[in-house]
Amino acid sequence: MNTTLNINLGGQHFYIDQNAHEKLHEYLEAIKNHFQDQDLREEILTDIESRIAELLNDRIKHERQVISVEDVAHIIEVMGQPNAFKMDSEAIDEEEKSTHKRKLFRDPDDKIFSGVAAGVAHYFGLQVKWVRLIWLFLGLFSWGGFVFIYLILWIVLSEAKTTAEKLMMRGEPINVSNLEKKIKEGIDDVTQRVKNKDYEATGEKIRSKTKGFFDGLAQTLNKFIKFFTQFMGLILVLASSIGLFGLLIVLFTLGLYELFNVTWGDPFWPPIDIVHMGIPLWWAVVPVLFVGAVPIIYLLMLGKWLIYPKRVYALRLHLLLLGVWMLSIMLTIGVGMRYVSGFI
Amino acid sequence: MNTENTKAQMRKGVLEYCILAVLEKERKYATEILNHLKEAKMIVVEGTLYPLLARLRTARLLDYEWEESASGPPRKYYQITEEGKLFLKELTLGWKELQQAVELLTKNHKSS
Repeated sequence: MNTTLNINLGGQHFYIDQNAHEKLHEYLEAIKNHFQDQDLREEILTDIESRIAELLNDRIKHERQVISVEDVAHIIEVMGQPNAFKMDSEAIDEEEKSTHKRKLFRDPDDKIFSGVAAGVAHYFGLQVKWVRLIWLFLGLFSWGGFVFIYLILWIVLSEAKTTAEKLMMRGEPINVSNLEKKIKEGIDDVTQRVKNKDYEATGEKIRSKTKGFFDGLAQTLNKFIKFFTQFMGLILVLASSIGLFGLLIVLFTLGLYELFNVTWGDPFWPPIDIVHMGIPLWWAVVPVLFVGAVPIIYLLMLGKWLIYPKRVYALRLHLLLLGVWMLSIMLTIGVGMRYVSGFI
Repeated sequence: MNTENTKAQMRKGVLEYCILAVLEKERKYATEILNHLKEAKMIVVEGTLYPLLARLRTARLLDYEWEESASGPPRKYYQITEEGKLFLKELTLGWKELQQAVELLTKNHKSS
């Protein structure tokens, strides 16, 4: 079963499948991201939207037909990927390069300890010194917590040894800004040629130069903010994953105790004498773990959201998690009361 | 180097010229322009056209106006401006020169 949505595209009304809508939305966003010049972007997008509406109209047989994922895939095939819209001669070389997926490696050519910072910097298309500064900053203010994450990255990431791996590591910096620059250059070029005929040419040149400088500044700032949020997201995901993993290990260990019916030899272990409360160990432990786990799961989701802001979790999931959490809290309180009343 | 890329680059170089040429005689809306270009195999994906149209318009070589259509929403008709016509004339000259140059070069070197 799938939800159907009503959309207005290029002034026309369509019924569209939810998944198809998501795909179409993503596609239009991708195009939007390619053109940063406001006026131009609006114009291009409106034109493309009305063309898509036209193509969809050709495809559907009756007015109430729902547009499916296949229809959208067909549209995208006809319209092409945004990076195929590039007009400059370098564009095609770039396309070739960007087919290499970027991958996170340690950079052996530019390292202080292990090359983790350099690898991360290449991955996000940033300068190494900034990444090192952030590491240092976070390392100092988290009482060494980030040293731990650094060590994990050191262990997990492999060194880029071959040329192919090094190329993959460097990949391409985020293509969107590159492309935007290219297109803007192209526009300036055409305007230049036309305007050169009159005396405004010099003024225009100066104007486009200052504009270029501020755009560049804004871009750098934008990139930095983007990097920082993604980085925080990564840290959250890592930390909460470790937390959840830890909880799972606790659960597993207790489960093994229960399964093999190990007697508790040490009088100080478990710290709370649940065994003599007359309820299974599971009953006492699982709710307590869930009370801790749900907030950690939320931290994990927050981290993921920072990395991919588009993914929004369904209400159902939130309700489920909240329900489990409340139930666990109540059970924990119940177990606690029983424990306390055991003394009386 | 692969031939497909080189060919695509060649096409892209003259695409603006072709769009202006298609619009020289009469105004057309995007789909008509697309049909001409696709028929001649000048473009592969349709998306390529739109940034170019916007670019030509900001350069004041093209202009557009909205017009009601019998079927569906209003259409955006593109037409060439006076400036665009001058530009097209220059490009036509440039294209002819290029054609001759290429012909001359390839002929001479083939026969030798």
